[in-house]
Amino acid sequence: MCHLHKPSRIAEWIMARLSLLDDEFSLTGDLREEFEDLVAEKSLAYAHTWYWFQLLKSLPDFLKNSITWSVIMIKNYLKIAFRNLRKHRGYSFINIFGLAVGLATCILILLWVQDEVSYDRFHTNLDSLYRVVCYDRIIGTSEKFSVTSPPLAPALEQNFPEVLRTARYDQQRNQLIKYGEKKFLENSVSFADPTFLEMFSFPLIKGDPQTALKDPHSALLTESTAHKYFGSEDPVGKVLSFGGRYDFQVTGVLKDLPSNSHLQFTILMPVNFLKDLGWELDDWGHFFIHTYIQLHPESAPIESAKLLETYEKGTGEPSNILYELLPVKDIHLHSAGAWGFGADGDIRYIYLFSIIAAFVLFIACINFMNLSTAQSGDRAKEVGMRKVVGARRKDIINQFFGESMLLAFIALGISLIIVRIVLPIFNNLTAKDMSLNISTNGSLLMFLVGIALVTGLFSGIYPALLLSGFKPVAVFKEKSISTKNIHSLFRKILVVAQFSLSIALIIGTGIIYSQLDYMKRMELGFDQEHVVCMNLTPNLKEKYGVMKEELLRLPGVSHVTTASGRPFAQSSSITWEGRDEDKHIDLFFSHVDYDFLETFGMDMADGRFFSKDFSIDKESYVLNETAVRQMELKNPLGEQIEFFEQKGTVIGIIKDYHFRSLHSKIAPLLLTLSEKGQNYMSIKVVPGNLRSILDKIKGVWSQFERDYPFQYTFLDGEFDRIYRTDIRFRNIFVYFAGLAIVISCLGLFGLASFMAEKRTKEIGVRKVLGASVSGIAILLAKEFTKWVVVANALAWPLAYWTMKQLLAVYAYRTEIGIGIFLISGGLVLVMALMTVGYKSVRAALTNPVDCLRYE
Amino acid sequence: MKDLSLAHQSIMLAIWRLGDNAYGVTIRKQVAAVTGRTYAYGTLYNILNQLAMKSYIQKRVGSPTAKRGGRRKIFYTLTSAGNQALKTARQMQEVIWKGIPGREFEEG
Repeated sequence: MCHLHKPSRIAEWIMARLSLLDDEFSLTGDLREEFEDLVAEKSLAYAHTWYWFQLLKSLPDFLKNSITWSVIMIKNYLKIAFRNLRKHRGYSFINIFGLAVGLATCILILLWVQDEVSYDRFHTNLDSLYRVVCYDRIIGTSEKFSVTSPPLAPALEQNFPEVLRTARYDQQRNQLIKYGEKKFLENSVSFADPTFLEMFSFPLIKGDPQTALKDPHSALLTESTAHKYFGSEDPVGKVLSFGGRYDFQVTGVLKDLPSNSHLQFTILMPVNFLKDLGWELDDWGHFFIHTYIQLHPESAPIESAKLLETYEKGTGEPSNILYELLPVKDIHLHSAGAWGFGADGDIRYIYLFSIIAAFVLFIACINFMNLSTAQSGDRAKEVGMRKVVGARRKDIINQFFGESMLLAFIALGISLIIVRIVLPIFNNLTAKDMSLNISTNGSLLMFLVGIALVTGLFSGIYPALLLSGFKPVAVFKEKSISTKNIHSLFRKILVVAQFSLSIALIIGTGIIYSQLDYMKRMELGFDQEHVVCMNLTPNLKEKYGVMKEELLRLPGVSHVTTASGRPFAQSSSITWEGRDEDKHIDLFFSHVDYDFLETFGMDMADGRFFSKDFSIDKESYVLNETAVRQMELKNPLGEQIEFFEQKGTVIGIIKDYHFRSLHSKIAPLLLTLSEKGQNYMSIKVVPGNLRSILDKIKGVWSQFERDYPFQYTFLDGEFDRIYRTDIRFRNIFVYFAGLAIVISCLGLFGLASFMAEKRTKEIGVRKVLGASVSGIAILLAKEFTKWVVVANALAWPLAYWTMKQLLAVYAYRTEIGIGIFLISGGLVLVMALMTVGYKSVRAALTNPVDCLRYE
Repeated sequence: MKDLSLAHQSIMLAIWRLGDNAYGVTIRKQVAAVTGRTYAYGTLYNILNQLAMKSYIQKRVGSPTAKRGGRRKIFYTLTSAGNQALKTARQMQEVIWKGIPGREFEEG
């Protein structure tokens, strides 16, 4: 034969690849032979077509064949995998459980982060929505205010063509709303301009958004609120009563607000209704309302200077207040240190917790890999055996990867169960309402599967690639394959990394604890104990004089006073009219009643407090020490000052007290004696039978107020309310620190037991040669101890630096003492020693005969 | 023991008929000549391997030829177990067809 034709090389190659059981290529040989015949009988083209056709027709059978075989092998792999799990029950548990806990932690943090960053994302106009915030030039941007004066919004809309809409918004707590016999204290009644509904995406179920808030006496109810008042009746057109004084009509029903909205209300009324309640809407000097603006799409935010210009034009005088626009999407997370609602998130915590989550997961994964790797050393013989009976390297690699994937996915399953169990507790801790919905939370699902895949892949790399490379002969000839040196450095890094994290977390928790404790103990400048506070309702405001006398008549009540804000609470800041043309100071002010000083146990620095003995006190002012200092008054007493266009004399200087939270420094404060705007009543009671005193106070309350239920708080209970965000973060910290330690110890325990097992023979020999139990235990524990000490050296600066950043939000900070570092480091060291020690002692106690005989 | 399928029977009988010259190409042609069925090579080899695993047939490696692109032939021969299985299959066939007259059945 002079010339041979060949079938297409691709076809032949595919054929050869697909036919798994083709011994000596007899199949491709047969095809060649017949191909030749066909070329001779018919034509080359026919032969080629025939060849391809054969290939296609053979496909189903090839496929069936390969599936049958893989199923058989997978069954075997699974059997071996589970046998191994059972053989090393302890390790397997630590391994899978450790990873599951790590994954669970990660999922929880991820859910939290997802929830935090999802705030306000549902607004269609989100990118063009802003809130106007302002700050004092002297205090600086560390403290921003989200309240503005009401005429600002219309002025901005007039002056700037880029402003599409503006809406003012105000929120009032504890308002009594009545419908017939039904009455509820609504925690959040809000007031807004009609444009509010066009700017923000709060859809209406009933009613027309264009007209719903046109009439000052109209209101929108959320779905569940409407249900609360009217049951299944149609709410539209129903008339409700506000505080038993003003009637208003329901014009529509809002869909319930999503929990991840910074705006939260149950009833929405027109802002003009505030006029009925006595609020001035054209006063430039009174900062109490929130201003939201919507710009035309594509327009840049208005510059601060221009905003200030508008304000100064409105007030007609220069001002110390600077304005800026805060994008609505940043309100929740990027307004740390800002007053006003919606600012209880903090982007730094998002970063911090994300890093912690990543770290915990990283450690759990490394532990998992390390333990899987450690165990796989024992399986060299199995690999050898598999190779002898014909396994290719590819098969071994697949087997080990498959096995580690399997374990990783089992861990993932367990972690989901853990999350399901723990989520209610975590929701409680974070004051959120999160749920684990894998089916709807696509990104989470992708992330989890990705994590499991990556973990499985990495933990499989070492056994898959190293063990599959062994020569069967070497495996059987040598007693054991040494895997010790290959990852001993890795192991050290691992121990150091996980203990650094644990130590840093404990230090962090300790410092947060001591900061909160410091704030709790700090001299606030007033007496927090035995003071009962309550809101003054409209009825009580009118009859306050008589009621006060009634109350004072009760045994056990020593002082009664009112104030426009509790000593903690914030009042609007306004400009004080100084003598010096250039000098402008923004004061906090509070309207107070006689007996304010006595009720709260405050002290005067100079002069006197308001007193009934002086009739002129209605035109008198009391300043705090900071105010005097900032105004640079030489002789403050008797100084004439003008405040709210009202002239008056300074009659006294009150000692500085912390009327705001300790996040901020003491600000200048002015007290006036006024009945206008008294919001809170505070009653100082004598220590003793509190229950009966409260009952009597309630009796007096119900004499004067028939609508509002009797509600009160204790002043010292305010601490928890004001610092609830801080307390919440502290608690989350505690949990994560605990988890990190558990995972670290699990990892260490696994490593230590593995080491002890590897060195069984060495320990036996040492004992035979006369080593003591303690000597051997120390020998084993020494290495780990060393690295925990190194971990301390890394963790301390890390924790110090991070905590310095976190504490920066507090104006009054606790000292970061060395004590907390020593305690945390010591604690972790003890834990590590106990973990390793347990294993070491057990190893040291074994009879040398047992361990030497196992050959 | 599972009954032999018709495909198995026809291939095994082809091997028997071919004697010393039973390998892929000839088996496929023989089956086609007798039954009119042409098997794809993938299918044929699947069956051959199954039969070999059940030890009904035996493999014997031949020498490579140029025509086959330097690849060896693998010859197949029936084993005694294979023989036995074929006999059983044939008896089974006869038993189940016994007493069924061809013409009436075809008309009926």
